[in-house]
Amino acid sequence: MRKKMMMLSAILLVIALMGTACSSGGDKGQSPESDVESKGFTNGKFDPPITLTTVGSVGSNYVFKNGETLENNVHTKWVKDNLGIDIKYNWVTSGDQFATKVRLDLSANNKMPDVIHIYDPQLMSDLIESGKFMDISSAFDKYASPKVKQIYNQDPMYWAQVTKDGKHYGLPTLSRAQQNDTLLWIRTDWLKKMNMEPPKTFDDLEKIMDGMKKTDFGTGPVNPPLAISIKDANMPFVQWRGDASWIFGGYGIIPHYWNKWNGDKLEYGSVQPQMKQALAKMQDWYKKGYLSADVGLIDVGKSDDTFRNQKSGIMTGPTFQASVVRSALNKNNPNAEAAPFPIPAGPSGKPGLRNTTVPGGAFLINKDFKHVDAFFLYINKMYEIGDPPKGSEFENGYAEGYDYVIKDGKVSSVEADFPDKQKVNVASYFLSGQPFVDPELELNSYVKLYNGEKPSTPFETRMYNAVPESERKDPKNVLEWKAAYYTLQQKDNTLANLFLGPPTPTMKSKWEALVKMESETFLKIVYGKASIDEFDTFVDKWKKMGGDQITEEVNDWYNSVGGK
Amino acid sequence: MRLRKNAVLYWMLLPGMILVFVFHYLPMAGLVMAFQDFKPWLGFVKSPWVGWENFQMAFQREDSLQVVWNTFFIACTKIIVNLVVPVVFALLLNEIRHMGLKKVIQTLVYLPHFLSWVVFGGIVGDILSSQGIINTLVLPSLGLDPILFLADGNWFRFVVIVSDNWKEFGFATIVFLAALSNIDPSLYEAAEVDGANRWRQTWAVTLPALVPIVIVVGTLAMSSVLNAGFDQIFNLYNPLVYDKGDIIDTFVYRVGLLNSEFGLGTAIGLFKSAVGFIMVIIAYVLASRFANYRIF
Repeated sequence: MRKKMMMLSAILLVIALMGTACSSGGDKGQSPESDVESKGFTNGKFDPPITLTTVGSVGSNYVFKNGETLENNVHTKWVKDNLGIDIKYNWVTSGDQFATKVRLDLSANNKMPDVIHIYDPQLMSDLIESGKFMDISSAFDKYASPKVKQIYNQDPMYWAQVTKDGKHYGLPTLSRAQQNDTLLWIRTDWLKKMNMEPPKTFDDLEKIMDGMKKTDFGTGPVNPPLAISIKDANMPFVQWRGDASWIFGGYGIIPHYWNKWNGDKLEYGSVQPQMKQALAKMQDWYKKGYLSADVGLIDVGKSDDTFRNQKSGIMTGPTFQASVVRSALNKNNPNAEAAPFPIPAGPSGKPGLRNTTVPGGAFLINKDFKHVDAFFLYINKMYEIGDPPKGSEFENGYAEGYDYVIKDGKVSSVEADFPDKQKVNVASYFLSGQPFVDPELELNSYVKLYNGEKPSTPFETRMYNAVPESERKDPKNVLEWKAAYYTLQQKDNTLANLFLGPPTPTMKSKWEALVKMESETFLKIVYGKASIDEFDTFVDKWKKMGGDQITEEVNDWYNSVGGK
Repeated sequence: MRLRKNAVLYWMLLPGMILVFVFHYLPMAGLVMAFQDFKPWLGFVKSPWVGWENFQMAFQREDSLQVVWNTFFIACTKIIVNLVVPVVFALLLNEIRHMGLKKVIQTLVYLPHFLSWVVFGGIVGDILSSQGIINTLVLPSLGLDPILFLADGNWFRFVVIVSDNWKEFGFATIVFLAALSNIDPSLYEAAEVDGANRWRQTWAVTLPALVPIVIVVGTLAMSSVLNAGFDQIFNLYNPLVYDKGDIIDTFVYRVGLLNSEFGLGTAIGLFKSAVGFIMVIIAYVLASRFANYRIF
């Protein structure tokens, strides 16, 4: 009897285990949307609501309040109530896991969501090549609003990433123009103490860095004076903050970037002869201790930390670094003063800095999605409320209590004015995780404010309200506005990456080896572990190991998308 | 008859067998990717066949031999160090008579085993950075210049081996401690009667009793002769130490996953498995010949 019971339980256990092993991979039977032509698009609202599936990721900087999630929040509710679109997330993961999870879905042949927003260019090209996504050219012509069309027709290169055989396999998402253009952020109180002017040239900068190392500012030794990070194994010198590419820009090239450095053909920046001089300069700076001894080991967050903790006097980064100064540096030392400055001129006689690539990611639309009109309704509406007219419900921001509050009858988006001291970037809940605005709008508005003009549109008012009232009185010294002003000023010195296409055939098989050799050689030169002449050997090898072939292919791509 | 008698036991074996089959044998079908230009959306059936091209590509690279050698060197050193240190430590710990103290030490040394390399790598990186305690306190007090441990290839290998040992030796010690507690006390009594001191007892009784378990652990470790530890290297390495620290797994990660060259990645992985398989067979033959150790 006892034996039988044991047998029975053993069998049950086995069956239970087998059950769990086999039950995965169900949940695929999503009923197709009804084919009936709905009047939703023309009415501006789908009734009954239609479902739009997507997948999403939550970055470490995401903030949720009121128990909300990416699946269910003030934005998704608004979209459902006002546009009749029920956004459903098939899954949500952390930001760094997103691409891997999409790849797994692709490998497992899982059903792709209706709409997917992708940044990773390799993954994007794989998805487009998989044939699971649609050519949206005609849908764009049919459904995009005049405003959206105007924005997207500003530059044909916006579409470069999603173009295959002349067709548009997705809607690119546009970041703000120049948004990642680098500036130098310098401790102005330290400059004053040393009796020095902001740098106009690399020589000035060297004097400042040298001075910082030798001066006692009462915060311990300055080490390193210049906070940058060259840890990234793929593009060590090009970073969104902690950037070092401007050092090379001073010699007229940007490493890792494809541009017409000499003549009318795209060439790879890292193998140009100017690179050698710039590397020698970095080697020299490293030896002199202007850079952290760990510059190749710390990431951009850690390199910024040295500025925050008053170990460094100079950091690099775009407009948004204002928040590092305002919220981090000043928390450590309320009397610390820092301000943005344009990139100084290098030995070429001119400054040079990398340009921000405007098309960041792209929306791809599933071939089987029946409501591409609903997707465009969403896009049209989002561009509309991104720059709302006066009197719109979005005049002050996307959602009261989230990105703005009304305090004492006045609109404010300063975090300290929030009852719970918690401001939320509502745009992170959008399908693309970023606001939908004309790429050129933000910078121009900032500069208007910098020049002392009062905000005239709701969009400008929003930006105005994000700065504490006490600072607004002196518009020329509001960090963001000043940074924007300099960014626009140095716009002509930017150097762009003109290769935005998918990896070319030779890149697919050879690029990893080339990048490995490149990063290893360059970092060893900076660290003084390799002589500067190693650079020539590297260039020779690079060309032989597929570099020349890749250059041809990149130029073929460039000509095929109509690059000029 | 015996089969029927033990039927229940066989049934209980089944779940484990199924798990092994599903997670270890079934995925082997994916090895066909090594001979294909694999595209996820085409699957195994429709992806084009390319023969040995992926293997040729992998071994044509001038760094491939270097990578294999790095892997082999780091893995072998780890195997040896991770065998010697726990055995010595277990012997020392076994001499402690105070049970409480023994337990506390044992627990403390095996705690790091439960940290992931993301965390542990961060700790190691901080300690060894130019601003870390080694470079700001320890080395200056010894009158030595700072060393950039993670930026120098040879120091990098040293750090990899030592930090791996630091993290894992406590856990490995447990196995040997268990073996030590199984030694028949009458052997020690007999040795004492014969006039052996503690040193002699260790040499003549304890060590011979440990040999079989050391061989088992060593044999099992042979399979990882090309397993230098992806998690660890990935969290510690950087382009400055590629020449001494890039291993097969990090290489496969960059080529196979980041570059979506699944075929090439699989080919290298298959090569690694084949070498591991051969090494296990050799180690097993040696173990059964010299130590009379048999699994089958």
